[in-house]
Amino acid sequence: MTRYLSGLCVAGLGMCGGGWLLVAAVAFGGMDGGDAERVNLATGAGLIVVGCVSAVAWVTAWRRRLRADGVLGERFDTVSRRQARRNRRELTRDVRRAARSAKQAAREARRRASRFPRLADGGLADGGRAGLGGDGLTGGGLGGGLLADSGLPGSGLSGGGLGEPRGWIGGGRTGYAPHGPARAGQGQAGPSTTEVLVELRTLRALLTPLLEAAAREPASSPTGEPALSPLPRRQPGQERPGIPRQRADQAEQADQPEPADRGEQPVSEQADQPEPAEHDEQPASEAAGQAGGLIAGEGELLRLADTEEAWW
Amino acid sequence: MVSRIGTAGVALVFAAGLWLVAAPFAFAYQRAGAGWTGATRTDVIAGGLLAVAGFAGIFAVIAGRVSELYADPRSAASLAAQCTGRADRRNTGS
Repeated sequence: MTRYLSGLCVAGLGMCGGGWLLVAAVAFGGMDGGDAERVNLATGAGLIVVGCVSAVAWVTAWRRRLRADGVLGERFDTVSRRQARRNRRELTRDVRRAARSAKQAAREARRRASRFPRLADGGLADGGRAGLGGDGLTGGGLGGGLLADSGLPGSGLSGGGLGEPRGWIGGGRTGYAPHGPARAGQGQAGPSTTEVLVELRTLRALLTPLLEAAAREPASSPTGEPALSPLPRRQPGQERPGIPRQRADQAEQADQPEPADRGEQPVSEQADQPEPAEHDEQPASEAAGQAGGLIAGEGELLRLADTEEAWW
Repeated sequence: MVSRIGTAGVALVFAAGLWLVAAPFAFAYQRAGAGWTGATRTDVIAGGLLAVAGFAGIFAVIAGRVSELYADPRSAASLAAQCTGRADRRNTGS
């Protein structure tokens, strides 16, 4: 690096000296056009030229050295105007293609987001109710809330996968669709219309024997009341009666003396008592026992649904 | 090639300085025994500065080139020593 710097300095000094000689010969006069003036002019001009060439040479040599050492990057080749125009066209085409695919993806995502929440909420199930069963039972197969609205306990048809265990919560929560995606917008590839139709046909094939069996069984009790009365709804402040851990805790609390403001009856007795008379509804186990056929195993299913795993 | 051109330029600057110092006497526009005229003083001072600068430049260029010539074998020798040490360790397994 030393020699490059010193060479550049000397070249600069040569240019300065040449400039000084020119200025001294022209501006200050006193040389009267003699030999002195000619010598100064010629030497000054020569020094400027030599200084310029020397400076360019040293700069070039230094840059080459820096490039060889890896300090400077590789020089880009000059691109012709035609090549530059071609590159610009290709870049524009790529950007347009990327924007088009992004728009398509966004449109598809919006379509899925608008399609599958309706499916999970039972909107599509409402439309397909008549086509499936025509009696309002199979239409509820897609949304848990429709099961609860139809008066059938969700566990009676196909277990906890279809509806809430005892129809208490209901409401058609998203994510409880039996076979479809859990929820739109979670990044999963949702089924197409054909897949949904295929699943609906599968549901129909599964539910048809059950519906026929239900049609053979008496649909109502001898007193004329509907056999499948809706399950009691939980009252505000009511304890969950079916969780074994809570039962054990309540039994332990029942052994201990109760505080005065909690009432006279122990909690276990409250849990064992039937539902309040103002609802005038049968307990779920009694309804299951009366229904038979379709709901023959409901007692077992209810017991399973009361386990802690079904609740949590 | 480029470095040679640069070195030649520095040498030309040195030669121009010498020429400027000698020109008043060579062309006889400074008479012997008389006081120096303004043109003579300008040429001698400018030529002297250019000659000193050119000489220093030539000295620096040569010195830099020689130091590079010394540095390259030193770095090559150090690299060779490192490679030899690795090879020895590999051979001895230590």
